[in-house]
Amino acid sequence: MEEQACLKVSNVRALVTVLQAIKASIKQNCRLCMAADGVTVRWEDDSKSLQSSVFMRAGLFADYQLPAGRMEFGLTFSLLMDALNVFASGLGAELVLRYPGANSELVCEMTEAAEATTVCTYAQLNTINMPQAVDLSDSWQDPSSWFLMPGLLLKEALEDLEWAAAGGHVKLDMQRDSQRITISAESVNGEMRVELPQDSLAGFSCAQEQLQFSYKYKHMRTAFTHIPHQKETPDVSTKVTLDADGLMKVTHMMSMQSLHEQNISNIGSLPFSGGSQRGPGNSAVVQFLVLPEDDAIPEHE
Amino acid sequence: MKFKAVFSERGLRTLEKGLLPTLEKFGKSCQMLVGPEDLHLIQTGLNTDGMQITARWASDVLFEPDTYRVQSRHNNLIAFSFDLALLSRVLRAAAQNDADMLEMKLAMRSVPVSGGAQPVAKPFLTFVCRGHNLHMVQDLPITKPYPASEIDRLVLEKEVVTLCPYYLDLQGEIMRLQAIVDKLKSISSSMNLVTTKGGSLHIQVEAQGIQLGTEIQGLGVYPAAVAAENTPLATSTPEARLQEALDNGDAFMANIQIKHFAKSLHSSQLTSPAQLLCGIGENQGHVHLMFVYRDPNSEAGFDDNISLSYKLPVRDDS
Repeated sequence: MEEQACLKVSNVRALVTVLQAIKASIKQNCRLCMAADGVTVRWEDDSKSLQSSVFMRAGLFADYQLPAGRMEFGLTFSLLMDALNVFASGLGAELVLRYPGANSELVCEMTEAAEATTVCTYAQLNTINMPQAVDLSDSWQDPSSWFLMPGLLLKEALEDLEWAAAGGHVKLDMQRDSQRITISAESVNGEMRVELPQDSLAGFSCAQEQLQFSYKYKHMRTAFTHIPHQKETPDVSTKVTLDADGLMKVTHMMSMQSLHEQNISNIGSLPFSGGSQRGPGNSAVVQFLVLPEDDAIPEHE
Repeated sequence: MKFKAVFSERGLRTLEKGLLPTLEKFGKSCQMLVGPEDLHLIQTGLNTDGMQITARWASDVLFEPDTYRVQSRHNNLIAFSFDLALLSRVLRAAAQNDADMLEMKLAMRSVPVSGGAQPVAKPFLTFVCRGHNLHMVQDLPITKPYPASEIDRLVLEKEVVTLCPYYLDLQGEIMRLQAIVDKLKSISSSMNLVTTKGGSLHIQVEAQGIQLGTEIQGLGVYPAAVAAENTPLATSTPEARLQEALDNGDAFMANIQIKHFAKSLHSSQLTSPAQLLCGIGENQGHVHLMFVYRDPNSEAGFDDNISLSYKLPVRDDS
């Protein structure tokens, strides 16, 4: 039998929170890749114009044993979340993930010992053969433009635009000299423009005098609004990068440390690793790639 | 046919705060069976979505001594159905008005019918509430008292729940179980429940692409003699232990609806039991949850003057 990979997670709740940020729709399959530097969970929208991924460094896990160089398999995202939610409802014991099981399934186990009783919870998730998706970022065209700001501001802006976008599109507008960034939408409901506050910008670079691209509201909503609520993790830092053709890369750095602190008061459990380091080293990286809509072809004609 | 009684303070409290809210979780209506010794509130498949709930009070606990009169031509038994929300409203009104005394009696009353025809006599449970400057009468409409054959059916039905060979006490693990079972609902609608003589409870669900289970070891086994019959297990994973216990004949398994089990766990704490015993019938035809209460008048003992039990149907297609 092939040697098993064995990963241990101290804080299942933190793992659930991070994975929820990619929010693949029900029945959607995701691709899990374990490599020497960490675990990536990737997901692609049926339209192929949206991809998302979560990267969790090996150091975020309490234990990370990977005999082979790299292991990849497909999973039904909703089943993975259903199973993890059962484990997360526990008292906060360590979750052990093993792959492959006897039938190349992903095996999850948790043992919690209380005063008189011992609770063992276990799950087997069937893996699926999935063709490797084309990574949208392979076609990245320099020069890039980017800005950096708190994720919650962007989340709020996108949520506010919902009625005006009415399921249609939103436009992102960047001006180099004034450093103005506007997100706008218009539909039969009306028109709305949100100018992002400049004093919240932690970085800005625009390759041209002015950039303007249009994106599906549905995809923008997925990319920006599924980050956890402020109570759960207050400091999500978000970087938005556009390539020369408008391909948008949204990167959320989600601090596992803050999840850790919140959980201490709750259940006294540790983050993935139980480590105490702060800063980007202790963050999970959630990334979305969104293709721009082609403005040359109007939709309703 | 006569039925009349005055609630005792403890009787009213256990009814209003505990058993009535419990029954309301399972259905809108309920059947009352009144007899010389005790009073039952029973919900069968007619009142619920498949579960059977039986609550029983010894009459001298539910009512003030010497106020209880029941008389009928069929072994002094009376039975009828009523609406739980209405009873709940009657009791709340009595509590809000600081009633000192609440009397319940069976009465026929003439009710006018629309269209100006002759008034019709209909059965009611009449609640008379007395207190300082208070005299309040509330009428709770009930069905026509059951004929003898229907009473016999109900008596039989409440006793269908015979004791299982052994039970596990879930009370200490209730929060943990609730949390798990709630999450299982999104995976499947039914689950396998297994009890072992060694004191382990297993829950397993299966759906396309996923199998998930949980094992709770170290639960109390009643009667204790059963635990001694248990063959020690040699295997080391929860699934292997489950299989081994089944192979040894030391386990019972039943496939039940998750929503029934979840509802049972959620409602179980309304009556603050001392023990929540879970057993599987010998023919594995039902799951029985039995509530055990502490005797308020003694430190050590359990109280069999009040009892509550749930019977969960087992799915046949398993």
